[in-house]
Amino acid sequence: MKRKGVFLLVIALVLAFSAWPGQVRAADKTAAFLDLTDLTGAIAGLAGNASKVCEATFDYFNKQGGVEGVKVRYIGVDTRYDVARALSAYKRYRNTPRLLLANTISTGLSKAIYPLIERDRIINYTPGDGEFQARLGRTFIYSTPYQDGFAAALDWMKEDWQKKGNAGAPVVGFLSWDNPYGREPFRGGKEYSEKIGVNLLEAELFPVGSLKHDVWLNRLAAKGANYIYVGGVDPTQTNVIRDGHALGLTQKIQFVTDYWGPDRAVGVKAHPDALENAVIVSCFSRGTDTLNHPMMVEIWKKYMKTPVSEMLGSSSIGFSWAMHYIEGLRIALKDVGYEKLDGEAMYQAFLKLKDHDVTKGATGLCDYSPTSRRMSRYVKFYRVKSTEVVPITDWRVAPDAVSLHKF
Amino acid sequence: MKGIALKTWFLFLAVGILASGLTGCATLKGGPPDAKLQLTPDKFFLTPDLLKNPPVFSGSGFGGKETVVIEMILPKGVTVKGVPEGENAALGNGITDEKGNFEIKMGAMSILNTLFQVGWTPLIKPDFKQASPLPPGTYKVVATGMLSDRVGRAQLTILPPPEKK
Repeated sequence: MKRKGVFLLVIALVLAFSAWPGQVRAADKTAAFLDLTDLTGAIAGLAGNASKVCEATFDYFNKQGGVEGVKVRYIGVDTRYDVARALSAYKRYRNTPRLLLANTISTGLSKAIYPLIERDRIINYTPGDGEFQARLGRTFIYSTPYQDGFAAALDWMKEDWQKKGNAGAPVVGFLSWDNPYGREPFRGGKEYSEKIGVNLLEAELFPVGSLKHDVWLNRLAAKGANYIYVGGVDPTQTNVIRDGHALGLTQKIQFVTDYWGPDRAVGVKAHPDALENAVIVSCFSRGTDTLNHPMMVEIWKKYMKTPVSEMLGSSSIGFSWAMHYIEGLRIALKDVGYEKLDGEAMYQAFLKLKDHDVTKGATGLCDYSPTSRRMSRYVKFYRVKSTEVVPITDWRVAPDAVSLHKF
Repeated sequence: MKGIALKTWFLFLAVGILASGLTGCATLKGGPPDAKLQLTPDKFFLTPDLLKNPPVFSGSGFGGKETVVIEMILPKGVTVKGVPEGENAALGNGITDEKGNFEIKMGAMSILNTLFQVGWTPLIKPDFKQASPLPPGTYKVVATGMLSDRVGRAQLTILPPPEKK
């Protein structure tokens, strides 16, 4: 009889507690990171790897007891670069306890999801659209805005041009995808080119997935381009430069790519000869810098299944996503404690990250503040040399091209 | 004494069941009114022509100027790449007008990733060789207003490919 009584008591308690609204499992203190990423779709090569490193970085910290005792719950969703899927996933996970941040990996998604981010009072990451700096909100750009990076590249081109003994400023061509991302560097970048006297040719934009780029390259060459800035996501830049090399253009034109340009383990590995001497501007460490980053190497060795020599350039992107979240979480916990930890606390914490060395050299100093949604103002220049990507400058402040454009 | 103890345990059990039931009712109480959803056409073959002439979702009765997401409820046994079992597959999204109406064409990414389930080449081109199209059949579709939580429902039928003559 006694045993039956205990059994009934257990059932009663289980039912009563399972019915309790907003149940909290006291065992783990957690904060959630929702990664609306692409693991099998169009940009999986870049985003998928970044997400794996992001998750591995959280695992690394969780294994050491978490952030001030709070473990990060990483929720990775394969949206296949589809805004509808990402919104559907957000609907599914938005009530996750202490969901503080959603990583929205495309500009289109960042804009579509924003009303929900505001309603739920959390924050989100977006790749590089300067509009999020021009109109300050709860969206944090996880890079240096595209137009700022492009403006820094224009400065470097002018500097390089004059170092080679040429007078004045060079003629610069621009070649990228025909989509909002592809056009973004011009929104402020064009104004900056006028400011520094660079002759920036009309942008040549091509459809995503183009196999050959000869038409656009020949057009820019015919207009006298001395430098060509190439956008896309690797291997796009690699294929553009491969075509330029086949046309003999790499002999007389210096190719420079944006942040998502040739990766040491993708494009550079596939076409080392064509890419030799190509320059990359990046707000994330690349090539040998990434290979020499102690924490990233340790994380790679512990959690990834390939040798360190196979580490992709995009590793520093995922590492940076995680490290900024961790640093924000640390501040939020200090400010409000675990019980009051929410998206608003994280938002306030992110506004305090300015000048923090969040990534220990994988990016420049952080710039997030009440007046900045830029991850950093800093970029670095790299060159493809003998199948490796090596730094040719230190971190340097990128010009503020966002403010030159009327959004 | 034994009788009293047994009654006490049954009382505990009853309280548990009651609490469980009341919480269930609480989630049903005061839900938002239903909205309307229509799909045109609601029956189609899976052919690449869908990319040129995508099906159109139209809805009404949602909140004004809100994001709407449209999802297909996957029947048991039907899987979609990247969608965990038991979860819905998205087909589109859009924003309503001031009156809560919308008209959205099914997006190319949804057609490729959900209906055809294509693979992607390194050059970011859809790879139909890796495709595993959804099986013919009738699927339930729901549109949800992300701010109002209003829901509209419809059906979509994927027709079996015509027999080759």
